[in-house]
Amino acid sequence: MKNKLHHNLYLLLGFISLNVHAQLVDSSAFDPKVSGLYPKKMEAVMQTISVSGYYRFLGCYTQMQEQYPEFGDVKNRIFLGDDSNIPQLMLTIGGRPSKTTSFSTDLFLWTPLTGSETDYVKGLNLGVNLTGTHSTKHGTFTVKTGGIHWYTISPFTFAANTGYNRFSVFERNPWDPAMKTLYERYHRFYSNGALTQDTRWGQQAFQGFILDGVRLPKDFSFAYMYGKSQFNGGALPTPNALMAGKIKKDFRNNFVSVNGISSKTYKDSLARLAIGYNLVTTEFKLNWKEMTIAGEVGTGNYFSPTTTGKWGEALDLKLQFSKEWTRFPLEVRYFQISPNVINNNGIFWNSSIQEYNDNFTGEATPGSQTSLIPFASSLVSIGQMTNNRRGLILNMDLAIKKHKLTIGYSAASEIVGLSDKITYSNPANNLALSRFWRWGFPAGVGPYGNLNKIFRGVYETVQITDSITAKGFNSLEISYKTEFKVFGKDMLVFYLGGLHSVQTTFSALPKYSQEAYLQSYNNQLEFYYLLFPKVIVSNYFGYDRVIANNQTALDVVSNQAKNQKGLSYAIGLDIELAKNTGLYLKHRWMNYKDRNFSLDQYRGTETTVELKIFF
Amino acid sequence: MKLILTCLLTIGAFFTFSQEEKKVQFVGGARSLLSNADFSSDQKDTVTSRKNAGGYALIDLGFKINPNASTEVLGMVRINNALGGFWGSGVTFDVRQIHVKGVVKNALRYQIGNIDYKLTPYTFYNHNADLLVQSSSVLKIKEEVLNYESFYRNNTWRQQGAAIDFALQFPKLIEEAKVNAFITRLNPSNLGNVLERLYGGGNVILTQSKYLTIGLNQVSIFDLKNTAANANAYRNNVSSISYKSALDTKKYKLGVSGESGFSSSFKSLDTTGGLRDYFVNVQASMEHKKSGIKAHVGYMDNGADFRSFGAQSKRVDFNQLNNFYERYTNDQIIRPVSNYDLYNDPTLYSNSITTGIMAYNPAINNVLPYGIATFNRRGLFAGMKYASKKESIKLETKYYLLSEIRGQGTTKRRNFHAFNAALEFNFSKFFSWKKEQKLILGYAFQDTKRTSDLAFEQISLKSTTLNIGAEMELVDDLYLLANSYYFASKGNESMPVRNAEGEIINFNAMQIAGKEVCFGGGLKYNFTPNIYLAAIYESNTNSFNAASAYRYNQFYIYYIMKF
Repeated sequence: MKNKLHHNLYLLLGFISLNVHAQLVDSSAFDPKVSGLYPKKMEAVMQTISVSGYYRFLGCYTQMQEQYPEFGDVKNRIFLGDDSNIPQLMLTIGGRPSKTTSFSTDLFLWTPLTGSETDYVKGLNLGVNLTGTHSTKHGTFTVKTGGIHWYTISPFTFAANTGYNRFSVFERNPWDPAMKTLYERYHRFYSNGALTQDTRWGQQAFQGFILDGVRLPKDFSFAYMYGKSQFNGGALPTPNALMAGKIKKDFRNNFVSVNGISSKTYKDSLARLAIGYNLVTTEFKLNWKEMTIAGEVGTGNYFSPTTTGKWGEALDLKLQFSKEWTRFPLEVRYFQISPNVINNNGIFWNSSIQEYNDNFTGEATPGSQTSLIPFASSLVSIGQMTNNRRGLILNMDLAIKKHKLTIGYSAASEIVGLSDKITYSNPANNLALSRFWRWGFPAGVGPYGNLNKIFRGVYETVQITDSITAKGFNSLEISYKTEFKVFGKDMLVFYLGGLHSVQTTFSALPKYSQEAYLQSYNNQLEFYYLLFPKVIVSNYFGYDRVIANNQTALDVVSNQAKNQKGLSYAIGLDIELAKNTGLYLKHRWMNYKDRNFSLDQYRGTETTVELKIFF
Repeated sequence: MKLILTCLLTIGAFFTFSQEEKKVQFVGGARSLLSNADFSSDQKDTVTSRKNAGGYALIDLGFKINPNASTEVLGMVRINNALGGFWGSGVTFDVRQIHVKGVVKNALRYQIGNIDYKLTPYTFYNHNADLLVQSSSVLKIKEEVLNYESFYRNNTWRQQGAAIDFALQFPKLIEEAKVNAFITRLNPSNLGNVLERLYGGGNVILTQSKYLTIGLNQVSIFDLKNTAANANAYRNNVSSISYKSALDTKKYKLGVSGESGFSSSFKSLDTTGGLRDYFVNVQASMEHKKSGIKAHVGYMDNGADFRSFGAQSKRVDFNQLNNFYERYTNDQIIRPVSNYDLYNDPTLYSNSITTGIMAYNPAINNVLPYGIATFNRRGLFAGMKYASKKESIKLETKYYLLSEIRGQGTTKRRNFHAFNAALEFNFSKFFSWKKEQKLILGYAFQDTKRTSDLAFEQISLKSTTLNIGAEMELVDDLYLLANSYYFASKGNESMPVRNAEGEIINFNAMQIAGKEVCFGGGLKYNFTPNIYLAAIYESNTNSFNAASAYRYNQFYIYYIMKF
């Protein structure tokens, strides 16, 4: 009956479409019966749409005994919210107009609870997404338009870095998904070595048009995308866009793919001065007995009105051995990314290209960045790659009964000496420090103007006074996890340690001495104790040290190099109030001081309350 | 006479809501567009961006709520996300429509809020006066988008107000009397000198039998007195009688239909009495059942002072500027609204009734710029329709031979010829192919002439519009689209310049010579009849400004859902 109604409706619409032109008004137009209210017939409707989402309240109270001079005498601060664009109420609305098509959008609502009844923020987080799928005997084809769509092509071309899962889980992320129980979040990190992440994990945000085909003949698949990433100039009318794609061939558990990305952003409104980059790669994974060879090899370039884009190489090769051969899983990885290769949509950071990094729109609105964001020589965690760097990474996982240990070591160096700066961060209080500056992402802040806030983090820049060389970077990272029972109740202990050095040249072994421009040591220890079935007590101890040598900028008063020490202790309670409802209370004591840069110190406490409800 | 008041069965069938229906249902649509345009002109141009890109993804989500079996509340919001607007930037929220409708006592249907309404072609009607040819293929997609955007369906106007209808059934003489009535608000008072302006009216439709239906129609645009500090209230009243009579014989269907009436348009303090005039439109039709040929011939006489703004408002105001490439060349000359823009830019269209004579482009439509309700036209028209038995061939033509009733600025009158044709050839039906293959042709020709011994009175303007579109199904639901659009106009016109009251105060001589050619092609995939994806490339050239001819190429991808 319903189909018949639809059929009639289509017939009616079809009939109308033949008579829409004024000059072809025929006698039926004068039929008095065709007057009055329209439509004359009931129109088709969709019976259901789905609504899901979450409510997240985050309140933060900071009480400082000592702090940076820029904050004056205001030592106690209340803040409600969590950085930019993290809403209190997120509604994901979706519908399926037919079996193979769908649409979705997400509405976020947020109020900073300022006391004003009009101080509300509403908007979309991921925008408006439309998808359609068509299955044939030759394959399944999917179209995605609008956006944001989370998508990945290959690590070098279009993906986000997933790293080696060596991080602290004490602080919760806004995007942490719902689990069956609160304890499961920590236990999965212990048992799987990774947190369960939401769909965006490892993927990049994209707006535009995506067409992909899977289950094609001969096990081929493909993807094509045209549109904008976050680095394509926002909603300006200039044709700032990127195009990317891949063709992939699977051989049982192996695959080879050819991938490419080309991004172009115009600096001028007349669309004549283009800046951008190209990158073509092949990604592969080949299993042979207990060994896997995987990686990505390619070539790319960068172009701008003042640069003729020289092509450079990008290599990321992994040799993985299963525990059958080496008793424990072992990975040997070599990477080399030329300073000429740039792609802000890939897993590596740009540390080489300095020009055209200005924000030409003049507004720091999301999506309005230019195509390139240069960093200085960065001290990064293992697995985070940058261009203008090559190195060797060793990773191994050990599991003995309930003890799990992962160790990573990397020795890398820059290919060309370009920067006289090193950037690094202090892990113990990093997230709390980022909450000192709210709403914006200011650069050049702090008592010495060398701190830069990024999303949920702060990095610091140290100036090298030595001649510029291709610097060497060494890192040793250790993650240890274990579980046991205390008074008959489950307890998890996580330890995370990092020892890093940056020196003038490549060194196979780290330089934990004054030979290094910078030495960075950090230790983070966490306990999660299941006090009651729905109550977890958590503890966090963080300690970090950063020591620079005399070839870095010295303090004008002490005439000494950076010598920083950060301490952090935090205690928390995770309480499951009801199904899908968690209350998270955390209190942190922080104490940080650079003994040679007298203004660079802070000390205080931070209390956070988070209530998160999924529906 | 025994009068029986009953519910109108058709209303009951369509608008009594089933108890079994869900309380909340959803209607609306979603659409995304990704476009990349390339623009260049013959003139040196170092200040106009050659390339332009944009797009959006939007959802129109309507909540259709049935609080009870006879009431429906609809609220529709539009969420629009501009391409490149990440993390909430470039997002707009709008209300697209709100209405409540229902049936009282199974007898009276009402709707309040947004209403889609029409009465007759001379009283309240949304004529499509500027897209002269049958659209197909690529153009059809675009026309569907602009019709959706402006709520153009069934030649109704989207208005804000209220409407009711009910019917009375009689045992003899008259089968049924249906009453439609509406009231809408054209503009609110500004509490200064702008009066509250309303538009109201309705009709009584008398169905004598299946052979004769008569409509008595009345509409009025009127200012409400004392709603502002202005005693000069405006009125535009139109009264008409419309009719349709049909006779069905074994071989033929014969019919007579038409509409006649009069209008008055004045301001309450106007001592001249304003404008009053009449109109007549009558046509006789015949259908030869065996051959499938239908033909009609008619006569129309629309007085020079006939004003009916509910039927004479245009969808497009030709005084407005383009939204895309509004200016070009180093001199930044204005780029007038072209035929390509009419298909390309839904924001050029409006759904408001304008109380005044709207500007038009004589190159596009000089014969009937306000549809068949155009004032100051008298003459004959004829047309025919043909559809083969399998509907493999469909043909529709119409010819107008008209002249002005009153000369403009002179005693000489313009003479008009207009010819329109639409031909559809359905190969799949003709050859019994499984895959759908269609060729559609639309043609329009207009000729305006005013002869005189005096050069300044001479007018000669010819316009030709031709559209050829093909839709070829390659594999199931995947269509290859091709379209070729040609528009040329040459000659001169003398365009009236009107004051705010609509009176002619001057004439502008206008020389027209140019061509617009657009080739388009692409692929379209139908997920369902209402959900499709289309990737199109178009190349458009325009030489109406001979010194600054331009090319406008565009690639775009549409993904359209209706639900």
